[in-house]
Amino acid sequence: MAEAGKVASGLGLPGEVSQWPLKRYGRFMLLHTGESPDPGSEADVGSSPTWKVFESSEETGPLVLTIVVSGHFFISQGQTLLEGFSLIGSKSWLKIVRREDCLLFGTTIKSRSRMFRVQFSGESKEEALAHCCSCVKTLAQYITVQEPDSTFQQLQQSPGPLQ
Amino acid sequence: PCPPGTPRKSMQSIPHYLQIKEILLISDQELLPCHVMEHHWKFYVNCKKLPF
Repeated sequence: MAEAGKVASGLGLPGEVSQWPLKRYGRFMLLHTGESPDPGSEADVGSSPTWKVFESSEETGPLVLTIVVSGHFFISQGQTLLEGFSLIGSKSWLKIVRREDCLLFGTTIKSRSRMFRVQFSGESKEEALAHCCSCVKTLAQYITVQEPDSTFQQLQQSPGPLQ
Repeated sequence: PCPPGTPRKSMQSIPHYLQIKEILLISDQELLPCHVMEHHWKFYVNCKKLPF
């Protein structure tokens, strides 16, 4: 009855929850400079693309990406929820691309789009990469994660530099 | 009309172990017309690296 399955180590969480530590989380936004000389031209005129970046730190608390086996996806920092949605049936409005130890998310709901991205953390770049790939594996149960970065796979296949 | 499984809906059921007390809402500046997002999306997808 109380068989715990796979318990996330050290987190004291039930086994149906997977969590990964994030180094950074960024929300894409267009800041309007208010200096658009020609409002009739393409939408980018007068606005500059910016990322509002959140970092894991002592003061602000660690950023965590959580996937519950129910298909719920969360990004939180301390007691603040930054992202929360269901991955079930998300193919129609969500797309994800991996770049090294980062994931880029694009959503479109009610003809409004937004982007956010995360960078995984780890003791080393390799560990961060491993966290990212493990998260992609879990995400892949619900949605396709594009991996246009084919050089990464080549790197993985070749033995790393031994000193 | 809200398609099933939109964020709005699922945000309402947050597991208690996450200890969430507040939600950082999405600002208007983050919401883009689809074609504008598509333009930026392509740029970042084709970037060699995602420069944070």
